[in-house]
Amino acid sequence: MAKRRRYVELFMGPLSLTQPLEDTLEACEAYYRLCKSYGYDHCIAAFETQKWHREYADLLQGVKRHGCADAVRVDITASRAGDALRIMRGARRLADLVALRGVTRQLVALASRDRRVDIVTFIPGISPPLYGGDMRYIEAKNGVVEIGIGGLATTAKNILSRQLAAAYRLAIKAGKRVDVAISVAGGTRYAPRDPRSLVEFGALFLELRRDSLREMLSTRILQVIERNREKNTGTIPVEGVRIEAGEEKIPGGNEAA
Amino acid sequence: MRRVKRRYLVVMKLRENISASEILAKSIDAAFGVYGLSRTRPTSIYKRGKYEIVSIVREGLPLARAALSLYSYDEIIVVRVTGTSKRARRIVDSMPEA
Repeated sequence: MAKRRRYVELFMGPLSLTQPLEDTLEACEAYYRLCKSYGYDHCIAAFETQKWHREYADLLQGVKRHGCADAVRVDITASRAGDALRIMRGARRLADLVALRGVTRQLVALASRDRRVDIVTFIPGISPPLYGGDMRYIEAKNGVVEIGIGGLATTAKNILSRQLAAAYRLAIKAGKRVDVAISVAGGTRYAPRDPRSLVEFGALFLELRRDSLREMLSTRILQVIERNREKNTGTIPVEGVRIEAGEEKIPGGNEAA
Repeated sequence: MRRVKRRYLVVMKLRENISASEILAKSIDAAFGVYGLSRTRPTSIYKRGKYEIVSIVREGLPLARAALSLYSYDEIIVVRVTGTSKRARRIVDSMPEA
């Protein structure tokens, strides 16, 4: 019997970092139940922010401890690169995923080059075009390009066709070289989409490969989260080095040292 | 003549007094027009509480799913897709009434 694929909701939210912890947990639980009814097995709580304050750290840790989401993602929606860097400094160690919304050319360049950014989010019709140079950097750091389709459903038909064309251009360019994910990121109001519908949307409207999209929305994103957790816990201290067992002695090693 | 193979969508309605097949047809029409409707031909075959079974042409399943990602995503949820109406009915009957 074929194994059932377990899908991951990439963008459960957006949740607010400024609300009290109790309200955030309540909202998170409600979103989680909704996502489960749409057929998701794992959900990533998404927090959008334009600025970073120290108090946000307690809230993120509280959500992670409570377990109302399988992972925590910080979506940087800053309009300037300086603000984005400040948020990354604070949020990187606390979040399992960091996504940067590329709304200006400067932010797209930063998101594709900075190794702390896992997901580069593009909003069709708003984001600037993706260049070949950016693609090379995203490919080198094993990053993910995400296309937010949340806004497409609420737009008028004449604007929709233009936004779909922008999404198509982006998917064709990025899909050749890196993994492309589709989520509702950047939508005006939250409503999860059935994961299989998202895959079919990507295959029919954006000409992405079905199997790679399925892989992206299930196992691939969990691998990125796992890698980030290992980085945060020190199992991967630097890129390319992995500490397998801390206590074992190295055979033939210098005892005195 | 070749028999048309169909798939049966077990659909959960998120609002009362709506027809899942009509909503599906509307969203397919909005996304793909008459061509999409002719490829899918959605028909309601069974209703029980908030669940409904909609039968569509097998080749049109990707079209129906893609249309649902753009329209009506907050009105109906596709719970399961089966190959026989008997299996779909069994799933709907096993669901809690409310």
